[in-house]
Amino acid sequence: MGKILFKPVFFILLFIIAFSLFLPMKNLYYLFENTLYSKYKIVVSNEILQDKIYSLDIQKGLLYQGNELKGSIENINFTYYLFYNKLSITNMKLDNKLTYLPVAPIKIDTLQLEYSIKEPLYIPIIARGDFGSLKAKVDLLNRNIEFILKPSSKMRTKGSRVLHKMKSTKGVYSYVYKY
Amino acid sequence: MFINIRFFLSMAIIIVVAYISSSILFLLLPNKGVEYEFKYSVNSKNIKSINLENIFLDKTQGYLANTKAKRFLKSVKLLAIYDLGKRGYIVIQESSSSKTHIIGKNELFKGYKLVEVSNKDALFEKNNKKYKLSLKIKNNRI
Repeated sequence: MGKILFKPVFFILLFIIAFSLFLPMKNLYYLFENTLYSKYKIVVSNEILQDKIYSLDIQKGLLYQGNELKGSIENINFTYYLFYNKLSITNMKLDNKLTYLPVAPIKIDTLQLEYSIKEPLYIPIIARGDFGSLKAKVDLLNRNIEFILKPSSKMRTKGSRVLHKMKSTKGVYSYVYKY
Repeated sequence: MFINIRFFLSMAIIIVVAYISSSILFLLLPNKGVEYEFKYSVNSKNIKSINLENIFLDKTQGYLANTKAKRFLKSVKLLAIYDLGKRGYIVIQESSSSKTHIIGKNELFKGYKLVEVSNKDALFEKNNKKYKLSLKIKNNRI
């Protein structure tokens, strides 16, 4: 039984590995950029793209919505092994009009998003920035995102309006967003 | 031996199929992203902001120019520098309105011409005088 299954499983795995190696990541990124523009009128401009083996680096991008500059990103790294994918963003600044948060401008030091075959129905997110440290989990089955925020002192003072909408337990704030 | 050759041939075929599939995908996907078009050189608002009042400035007016420059440097905050060689540009924010502007090398902003950008500083020029605007560094991080 094992011998019969070995060949097809091996060939499927080989196809996945080879396909992801030849994947035109730059063009996939352009598709994402076009979708972002057509749906939300957001443009990622002046970025430098570097297509590496199993990863894509996007450096020094500026975010525009309409004619206004809404943010800047120093680096985005997308690593894809199909069974384990990771998106890391470093030094991102966002205008509060884009984030709908009253802390302006929002500065995100690091943001990490992972998608693994181990937990295919969940996408864990970890972020750290001006607002404090944030852990979130996207539940793809129930279509919701659970946020757990440890707010910084700046967030406590300037973002109290947002914190009021969240559930507080021992200085940790949680919120479930349904999409 | 025959089985091994068949096995490796199958592997090679699969790799070729994967390559062809990704090439088809390459042809189907867009080959250009969306870029923001800089409209600063033709924007009427930008033309208004070019300050011509110091065009006939003499030496006695130097003090006035200095205070104006200081006021200018205080009124803006340098948010980001992108030094891309010839294509370098900066992002600055006006303290009064929190409005952000993006200025490319050799572009004018409120009468000040951006002449140089480095990792931490942006150098403006006006009336042959240079003014430096620096990034504020907190905890050794920009």
